[in-house]
Amino acid sequence: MIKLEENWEASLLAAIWHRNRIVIQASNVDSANSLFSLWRYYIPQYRTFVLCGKIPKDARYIKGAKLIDVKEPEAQREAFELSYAEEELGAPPIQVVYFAAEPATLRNVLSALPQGWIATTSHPREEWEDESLRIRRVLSFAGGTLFFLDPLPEDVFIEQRLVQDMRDNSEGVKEFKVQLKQSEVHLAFQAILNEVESAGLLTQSYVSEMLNIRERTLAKILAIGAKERRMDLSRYIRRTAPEIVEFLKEMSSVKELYLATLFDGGDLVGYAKYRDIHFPSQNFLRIIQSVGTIPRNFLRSGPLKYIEINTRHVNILVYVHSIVFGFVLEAGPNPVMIRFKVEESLDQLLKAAGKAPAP
Amino acid sequence: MITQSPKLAFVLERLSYLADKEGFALFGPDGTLLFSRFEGSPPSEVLISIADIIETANGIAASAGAADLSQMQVDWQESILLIHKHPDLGFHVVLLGRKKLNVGLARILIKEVTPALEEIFDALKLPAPGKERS
Repeated sequence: MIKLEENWEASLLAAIWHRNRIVIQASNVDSANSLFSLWRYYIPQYRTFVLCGKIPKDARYIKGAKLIDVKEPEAQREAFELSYAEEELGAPPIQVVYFAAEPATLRNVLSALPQGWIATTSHPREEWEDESLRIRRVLSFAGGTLFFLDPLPEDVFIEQRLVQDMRDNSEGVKEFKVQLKQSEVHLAFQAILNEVESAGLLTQSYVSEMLNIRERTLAKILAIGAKERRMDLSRYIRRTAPEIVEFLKEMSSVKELYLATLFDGGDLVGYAKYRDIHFPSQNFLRIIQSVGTIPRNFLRSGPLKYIEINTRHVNILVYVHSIVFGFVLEAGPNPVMIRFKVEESLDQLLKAAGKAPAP
Repeated sequence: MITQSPKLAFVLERLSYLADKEGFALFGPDGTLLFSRFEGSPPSEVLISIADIIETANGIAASAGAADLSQMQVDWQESILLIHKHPDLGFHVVLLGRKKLNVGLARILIKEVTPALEEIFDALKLPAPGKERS
């Protein structure tokens, strides 16, 4: 058991967002309920609140909340199981809050739910541990203690950024920022799910470009989505090959570079945006397709090798090998030198992949 | 279409210095073919394809930060296509050449004949992009 100290706000936000099971304990139930109210805005609004136990008055007015008024543990358990099962039919994820829980509640009711519940209680930790409750983390503050029953999410960079960003904000603005980010992640997962349903397998680069996100953010969206929708979409997203990742990292040394993309056939297998620009990667394939309309028998030209489009602000380079490489560069005073640098890195990648062009 | 004129004769004469050139064409701002001369007569599909390339390249250039196309180069294993767009009048000079075409020299020659091309284009009284002629 480890005490939470650094980044505790980010960890608490992450725990709630990832549907971890949490017990909020204080010397009396009212204090425990107050602690819940204090952090309630960390619960995504698209979740359906399912409230049970001695529900305080203010919680009864949570919009769209389902109240389980039955007292019998068996009936409560069945109600939870039913609500949880409805998630698999497409219902929004539920957030169970059990007010004034007894340690026996864990055994009789809450054990039906593998995730997504918060309980408030006045019973001390020992009594909960007597019910075989395994506490993974503890956070003590404001006269109360939070027991985290699941391992905390490891990567909390989004939560850390959020907490840092709203440090000086009012409660209302904090709530707005948290809910905005949570909705964004929720919708992003839905967009990926729709793409998977229509296209089957996706590439990580394609998703990165489609949602304008980096690899780490994608991993976070998939992790939260897996908890909320109980679907592991990561198996449907082909990761970028390590040598391509290395190549894209190396290309960041070309300071004029806005964008680098790699296509294997029609699949976007590498994508990196180094500077802000709106340039759909499909443009590279469009121009190749357009050039391909010239009748081959007229040109006797052999295969297409290279296309360059120059504008006042940018240069667009397309190298056609077994993989298509597309680059957008800032139009500078020495385009040949930049092109040389790009081609040098490209040759290294092709050699490493055993696909070096014929001399 | 442009018919024979002293200015056009000058342009063709200057471009004749360019070794490994296979053809020359002039397209209007909207991709309309104004003049072409190729080694052998190209099928109309080729000129339609070049017009399509010009349109696509202009569209892509516009999407990349609202910047106008200035030039384009396509390299096949055995051929090269160069497209230069006039920055003000918007017409496109197209050169098709073999692999050994000297691209640097081609660009110099295009620059050299541009004033003559401007006069030819002007005589056609076609509107430049975004401008109406009185």
